[in-house]
Amino acid sequence: MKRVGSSRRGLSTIVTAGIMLSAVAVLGSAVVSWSNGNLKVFEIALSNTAVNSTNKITENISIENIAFCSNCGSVNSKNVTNVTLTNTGTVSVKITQIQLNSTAITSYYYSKNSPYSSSSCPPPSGASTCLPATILPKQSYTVSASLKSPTTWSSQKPDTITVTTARGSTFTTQAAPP
Amino acid sequence: MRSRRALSTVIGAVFAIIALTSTVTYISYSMGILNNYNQSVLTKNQQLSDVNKEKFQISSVTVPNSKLNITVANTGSLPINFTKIWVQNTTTTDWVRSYTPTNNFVAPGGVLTKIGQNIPVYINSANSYNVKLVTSRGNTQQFNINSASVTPLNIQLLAFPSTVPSGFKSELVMVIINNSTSTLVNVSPNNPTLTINNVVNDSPTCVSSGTTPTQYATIAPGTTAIFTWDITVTGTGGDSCTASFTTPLKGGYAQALTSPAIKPTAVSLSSTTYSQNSGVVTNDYTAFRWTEGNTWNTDWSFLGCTTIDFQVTLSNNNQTAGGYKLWLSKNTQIFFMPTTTPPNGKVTPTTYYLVNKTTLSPLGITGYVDNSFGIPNQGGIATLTFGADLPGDNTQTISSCNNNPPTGLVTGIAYYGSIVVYGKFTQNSGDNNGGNYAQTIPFLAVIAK
Repeated sequence: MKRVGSSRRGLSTIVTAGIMLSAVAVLGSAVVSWSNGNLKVFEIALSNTAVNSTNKITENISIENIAFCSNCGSVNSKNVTNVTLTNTGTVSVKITQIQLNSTAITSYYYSKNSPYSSSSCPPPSGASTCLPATILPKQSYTVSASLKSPTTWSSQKPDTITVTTARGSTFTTQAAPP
Repeated sequence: MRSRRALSTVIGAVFAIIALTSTVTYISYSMGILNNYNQSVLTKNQQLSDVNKEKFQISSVTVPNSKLNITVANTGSLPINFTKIWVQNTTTTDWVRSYTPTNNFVAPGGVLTKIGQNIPVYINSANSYNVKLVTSRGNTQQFNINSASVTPLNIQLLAFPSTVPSGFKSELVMVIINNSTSTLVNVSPNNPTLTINNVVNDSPTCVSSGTTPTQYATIAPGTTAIFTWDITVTGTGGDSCTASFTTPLKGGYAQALTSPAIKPTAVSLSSTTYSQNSGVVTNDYTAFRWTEGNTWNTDWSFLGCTTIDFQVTLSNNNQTAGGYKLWLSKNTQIFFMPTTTPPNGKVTPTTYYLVNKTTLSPLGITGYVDNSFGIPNQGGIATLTFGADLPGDNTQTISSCNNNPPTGLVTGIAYYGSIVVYGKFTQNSGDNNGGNYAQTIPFLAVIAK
């Protein structure tokens, strides 16, 4: 006797459905994993960028005083500029470079006994005057920037002093030697 | 018909929820990061705004007992904390020191004094110093001590007036504009070098007084200071005097300055120059005296209805040299006019002519002989007595209330008076080669009591 109104799925339909489900599950899992991974990467990048940018805008250096030294190292050498920097921001600042009239300083004056150094930093004894140096908030640091002999600073001519931090901030001022 | 949700729909929904959750989480995290960054930007802006709002002015700098005493006024809207004071001896090389002041806080609108008193720096007046104050926000202000700057200042020399009668004073004015960025302290000028241009070989002179004022305690950037000297010049015929400086300010920058030429003109007594020289005789108003016969009094209020004699002190400012004098005429007089109508209704002068001398106790006069007394030129001073009723007469001018109507200076009436000087400028009393001269000198207001 034949049943009227009843239907039966075919085997092919079931197989197809299984294949489709498997494909959707696999592809969906892959897409979700990929997007989650990307989002994590973006999160980390965004976090780093935000932290760096925040620190960069938070750091602040005041070029507090500039003293041109005539007899540092040798008499009337006129090649040392003492630049006193004060951290007026709220985060530590690492000073990586100082420039005098766009010339990067690589030599620093220490004392009469061990006048100059461009490699041994900190100096053999006494307070360091070289770079790089990290300045804590509210602290000051004096950099004794030395021009390479026979270059000297010129009296009554303005010099441009530029300080660069590890985060890429620059601070600039001008001063005229006596 | 029975309907069943397909399994794929369920799986898709699960994936959609996961995707949406991840996206929302990421966006929320990003917003949080951006919010933190935004907060940092706002904080930074606030700090920069505070740096700009921080304003202070160095109002005075003194050096008592060789120690710095700086006074600072907080002219901004934020409290200020001074963290460093730098001192550089600019006279010697490579002498730079920094110190932390102990009294370092000043509220908005407040004044902080005695900055620098605690630091171990003794100011040598022979040296120049550059001092810098640093605040916690990084702002600085500096000034120089004992130094009129190492750079030339804007200094001008003026002479007012540039042409003066011989023997009179012209004022030499030095205008200093502090066009530097530093506050100058203890600024005082050197004395001018006076140079005479003798055109007609008549021994002109040029003499300077002292400086007024002697010193400015501070000259802030952009402000002006003025020093003056009185330059007395004599001479004629195009002679002139100039004042010059090689170093205008003590311890300052060498910059040559020369004033405009000050030209003396001779006092001449022609009809054309009479008006401009009418002040050749001047009266010392503080020397006015009167006597009723007992003592000489200095008050402006004297006895009415009483015989009175008067004394005045005159100066002859004619600078013509050569022994000339102003020989006084017997017509020289002092007269008084009532300021209100007297009881008799007649406004008439009461005149007292020049006398030779007056004696006291009792009051008496000796008549003046015409042209018998001369006041020397070039600043001669003489005290003259008036009391005669007529020129050269020995009789007193009478004031009496016993007459009807009363005569002379009457009690209760206020008077104003003038001195009328007649004379001639000659070397000797009897000479007639000089010029006659007359001048009215406004006198005093007096009252008869």
